[in-house]
Amino acid sequence: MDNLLLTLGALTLGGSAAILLLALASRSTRSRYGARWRCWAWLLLCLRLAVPLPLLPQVQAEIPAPIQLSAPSDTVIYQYRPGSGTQNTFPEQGFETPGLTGGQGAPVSPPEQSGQVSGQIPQAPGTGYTLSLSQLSAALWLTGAGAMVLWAAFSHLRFLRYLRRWASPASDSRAVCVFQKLCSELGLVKRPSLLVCQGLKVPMLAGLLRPVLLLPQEPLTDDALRYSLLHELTHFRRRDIWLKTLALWVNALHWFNPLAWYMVRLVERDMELACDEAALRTLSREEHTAYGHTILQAVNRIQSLKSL
Amino acid sequence: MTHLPPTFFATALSRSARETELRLLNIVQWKKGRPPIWAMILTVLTILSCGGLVSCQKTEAPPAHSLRHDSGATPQGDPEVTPTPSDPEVVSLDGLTLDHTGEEDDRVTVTSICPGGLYPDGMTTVEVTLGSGESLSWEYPYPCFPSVLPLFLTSPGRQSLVLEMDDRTSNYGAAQYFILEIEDGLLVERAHMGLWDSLETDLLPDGGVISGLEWTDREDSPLQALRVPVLIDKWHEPCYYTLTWDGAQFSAVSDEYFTDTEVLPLTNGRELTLELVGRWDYNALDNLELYYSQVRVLEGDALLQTITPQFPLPQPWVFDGDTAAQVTPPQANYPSFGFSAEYGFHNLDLRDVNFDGFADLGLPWDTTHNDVHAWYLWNEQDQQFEYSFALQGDLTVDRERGLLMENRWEEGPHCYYYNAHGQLVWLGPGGP
Repeated sequence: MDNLLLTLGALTLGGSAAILLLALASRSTRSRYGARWRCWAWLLLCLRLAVPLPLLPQVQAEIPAPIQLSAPSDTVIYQYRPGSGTQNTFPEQGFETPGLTGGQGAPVSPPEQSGQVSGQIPQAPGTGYTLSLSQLSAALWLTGAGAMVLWAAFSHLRFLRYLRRWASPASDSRAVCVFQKLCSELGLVKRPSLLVCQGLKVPMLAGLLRPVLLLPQEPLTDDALRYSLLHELTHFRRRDIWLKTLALWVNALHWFNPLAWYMVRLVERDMELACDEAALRTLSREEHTAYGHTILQAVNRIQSLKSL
Repeated sequence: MTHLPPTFFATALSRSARETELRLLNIVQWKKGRPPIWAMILTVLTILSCGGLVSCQKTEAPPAHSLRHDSGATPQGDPEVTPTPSDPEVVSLDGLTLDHTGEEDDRVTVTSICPGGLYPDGMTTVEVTLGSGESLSWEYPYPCFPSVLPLFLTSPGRQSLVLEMDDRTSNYGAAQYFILEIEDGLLVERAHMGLWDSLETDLLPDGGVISGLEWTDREDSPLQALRVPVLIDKWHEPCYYTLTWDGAQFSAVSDEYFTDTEVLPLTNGRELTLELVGRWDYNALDNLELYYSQVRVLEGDALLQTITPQFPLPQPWVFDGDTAAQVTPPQANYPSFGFSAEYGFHNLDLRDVNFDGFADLGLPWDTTHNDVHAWYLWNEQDQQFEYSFALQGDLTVDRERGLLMENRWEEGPHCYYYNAHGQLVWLGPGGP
């Protein structure tokens, strides 16, 4: 566990540097290079940070580093010793440190023990337990990571329960036709289920293993329907939810690192930008404005819901 | 109104104005190029080297296979190895006088670890913290159950540390001992005993060193002396060696005896203690013989009697000459030195063989298959055991008929009874 924590620490420090470099690079090159390249970079970084094991082979002992520092001993912060308040129990066991004041024949130990050492000098009881700093750190880390994973699972289960109650297969022929037409245009052999869900304001792709494309109950205009479905199906084709899940896993492992949380935001942002770029490539130049207008309408719908 | 719960596994639209602005800007500038190859390679290398950018992992090195003495400083090129502690045994003492300051302000901690329980891999470390704050250490690449004892062995103003390392697997209490002292700012080893692989420097190279250390004050100096037990065999108590400092070196002198102890339940709860002083010597056939040279009879702390072997045995106290001839072993069968201490065949026999209600003492007086016991009967009036006769083989005591039956190796059973004067009378061969 100590090695795992050390590897994790090294990884999170190196990962932080990489996140900062990528963030700075993306800011300065955003207008020149497509977001999909950044998404590839994030994917690679997430894959690296998702496995807290050393990637490069360990340097062997016969090749000493120029400077070697001995690892500090793990600080014991709690030690349980039943029936004993102190480790040095020698005097408490009835012994006297042999000295010269007793003179010849003076007892140096209780008479019944005849000065024998064996079994008399107290030893640390083997039944105690200690809690070291590394054990505490490991427990804290595992607790944080476990809490994040559990929270994600719990949220998704709650979401699925909501869908079971409030979602139903789309019956609007217009929406179904647009959906089928776009799937064919994008070359999707395996297609997500198309559902209509109450309480939803804008279309959304959800689900990792069996993704569903959710449509709001309120009818959308033709343009909004088409561009929204195109955007979500592009997410589906790019398997963006898998990238998002990977980023979530990295965030759970490195929950103590604020830059990991920042990276998740950057991943989501670049994922959306890359999805827009991919969708726009299937549209004519004249349709780009309508696509942008659809985004504005969708945001406006959400904002109006929020203001309500 | 229903509200859709959030989930991490979805592509929900962000409400962020900044993100919306970025998306719209991205639509306007939708046609973008590919980063240069070198930038992509650099990015990949940066990402892959993430875990290697910072390394604070220690490298496992094989454990040292020799004694190490140091003062806490690690020599260059010899990295400190800290095995993962597993089930550590720790002993600490403080208030010691390990340096020459005269202050009882020093502390010692002995830690023994056996990583993963893979005996004999492991390490025993002695760490001394002086009152001045200086730390010294000493290591031995062997796990044990440690004990440590401070004694004035070489100087009346400074204690030596006697480290007892009990073997973790021995079933007879094997142990190793080290005497450590502080000299010239270093914790050094002054002597060792019980090391099987360092016979030339071992003070007790013949092996058999076991736990059970004792110490005593010396009569000839203000120093103290160690008493180290050495096992003769598993049926007897150990022989002790006295370890003293002569001003230049330690020397070990054997007691040349061991003392077995038996409890003799005399009668009605009254118990006597028998201290059998054993020795060993080579007989005429050049075989090593263990024997008791002295049997001390004690009641509590009071010495009642000391029995020593007599060559030849005294005249038996029996009824007639025939009986005397039967219960007097031939001198050719006598043991060479004393009562036999060869356990397993010639055992001590403690039981009432004259039916007076008091236990009697049968001491092995034979080294042959005849297994003769010299019987010393308890005399209640004199409060002494008195030699009476010697009988062969495993004795059968028939209390109901008042008979004793020898089981001789070649001749078979011979019967005896007691007459009215309490004298043994030979009945003849065969059972009753």
